[in-house]
Amino acid sequence: MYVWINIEKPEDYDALLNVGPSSDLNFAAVYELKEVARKLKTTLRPRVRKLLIELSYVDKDYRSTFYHFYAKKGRQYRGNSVRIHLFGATVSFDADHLILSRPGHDNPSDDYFGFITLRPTYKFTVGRSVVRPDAIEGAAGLALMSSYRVHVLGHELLAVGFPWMEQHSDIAVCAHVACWSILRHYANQVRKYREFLTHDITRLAQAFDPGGLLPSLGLYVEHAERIFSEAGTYPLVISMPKDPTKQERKDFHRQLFAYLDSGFPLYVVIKDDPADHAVAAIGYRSNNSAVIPQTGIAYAADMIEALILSDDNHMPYRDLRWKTFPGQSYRLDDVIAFIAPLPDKVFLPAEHVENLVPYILNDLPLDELPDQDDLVLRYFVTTAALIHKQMREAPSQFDPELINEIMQLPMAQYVWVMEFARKKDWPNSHISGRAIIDATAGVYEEDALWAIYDRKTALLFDRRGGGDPKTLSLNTPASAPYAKMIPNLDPIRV
Amino acid sequence: MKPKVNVLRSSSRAKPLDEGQKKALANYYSKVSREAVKRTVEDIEKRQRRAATARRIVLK
Repeated sequence: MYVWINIEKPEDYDALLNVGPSSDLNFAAVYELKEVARKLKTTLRPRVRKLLIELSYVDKDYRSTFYHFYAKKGRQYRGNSVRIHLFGATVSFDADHLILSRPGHDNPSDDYFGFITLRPTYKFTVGRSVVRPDAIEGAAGLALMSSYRVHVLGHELLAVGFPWMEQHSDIAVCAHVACWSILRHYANQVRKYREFLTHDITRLAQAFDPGGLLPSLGLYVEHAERIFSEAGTYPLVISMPKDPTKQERKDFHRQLFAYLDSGFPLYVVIKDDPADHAVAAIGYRSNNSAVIPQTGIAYAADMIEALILSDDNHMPYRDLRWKTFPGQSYRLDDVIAFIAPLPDKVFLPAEHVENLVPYILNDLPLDELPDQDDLVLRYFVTTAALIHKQMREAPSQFDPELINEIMQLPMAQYVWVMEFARKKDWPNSHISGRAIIDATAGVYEEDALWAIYDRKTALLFDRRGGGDPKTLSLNTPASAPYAKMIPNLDPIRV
Repeated sequence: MKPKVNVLRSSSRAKPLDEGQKKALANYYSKVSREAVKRTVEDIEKRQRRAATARRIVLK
């Protein structure tokens, strides 16, 4: 039931074709092992050196479609999946006693690159998978990840990554899979969201049971919006206008980046012919050596060189760049809409936050904020708790009185943070000041600030109690510049 | 006498805004308020232009 494969060179993945029981002549065809071996050998990094294959694994997501769809078909489908665990060179397997070990270390998890399940569906067989991004060739940048507990042979391993699978093409297409991967991440990351299996997602798209045929015909954007809403999130749909101007394109991409940088995975619609495509955007990569324009406000969003996708047509963490490249036929400019599945307490949209910028720079008495021709601007949603955590973990950046004030300042759970950096400081991730804006404010509220500070002055606003604003002259240590915040995305180890 | 309840410390250095700061803030509020009305009308128009995208089907 368990097979161990050593990988020394790409051709060793071909051993997958022979893992089935000798009495089961159909095994390789049922799980499409030849195609799976090709995918693994072309996309996994050489640091993946060992595979543990579970030949019979009950996968909850495949079973959800088996019970409601495949069991009704004339062709006989099996009930069990195959699961492939990916390990580094330091993990060993005792085949006689079925024990995984990592000599000299305590836990095989530290050299565990996650798992891939294979459905017995003959085509498009790669099912629920969580692969660590540093196992994938070419993956680089910042990505959303969380840890998934994996139980195998009495060991508890941790798979770190973002959920991914290929589309079934019948009971679920790309749009279902993009919703599934985002909602599975939420269920694992945030306690308030429950887990939805693949077939649950299919059913959530419509007010009625869509049966077996309708899902294969695709989804409208509003169906995906419904799925996210039914799952307990508050989806915000942002679309590119038809025949957009250059400025409208920039505005669209800046909003997309603002929500992604906030740590919200995005359901992204990509224009294609004859039918569009849907993927999940789960991270990004900035070009740190990008030439920053000398005049006008520069935006962090404009320095993005790639989105990182969970795309059912490719292995996970594939780039979406401004230009196509071998293995990717879409460009960032092909994105025509996205859905940000927000929590219930974010009312202030990204585009309104950006509208505040000229007035903050021109009218608020903060002399140390950069002028517009020397400004790189970034804004994102985070929590008051994360702001407190950042101050607690890097206190040397701040005047202790500012920490004291911010810790006691009543704030809502979600805030927009606007970071102001000088152009020369941006490549070093240093900023000159930060505004904390109430994400629960309405667009007509002119006093949405909780706090704003540069290196010399802080303004503090008592929005909850309605007291008068206060000001604080700061004695900020010159040797410790403010560092830009990294909200919820983690760097991919290359 | 020892207090029965510990009250959270408030910064001793934070002060009310001076007149110049108050004036600047009032100016800021007034401009942001005008901007919000203007933008909301624009946003409704944008939303109408974008509505067509929601009818696009995705399945590839």
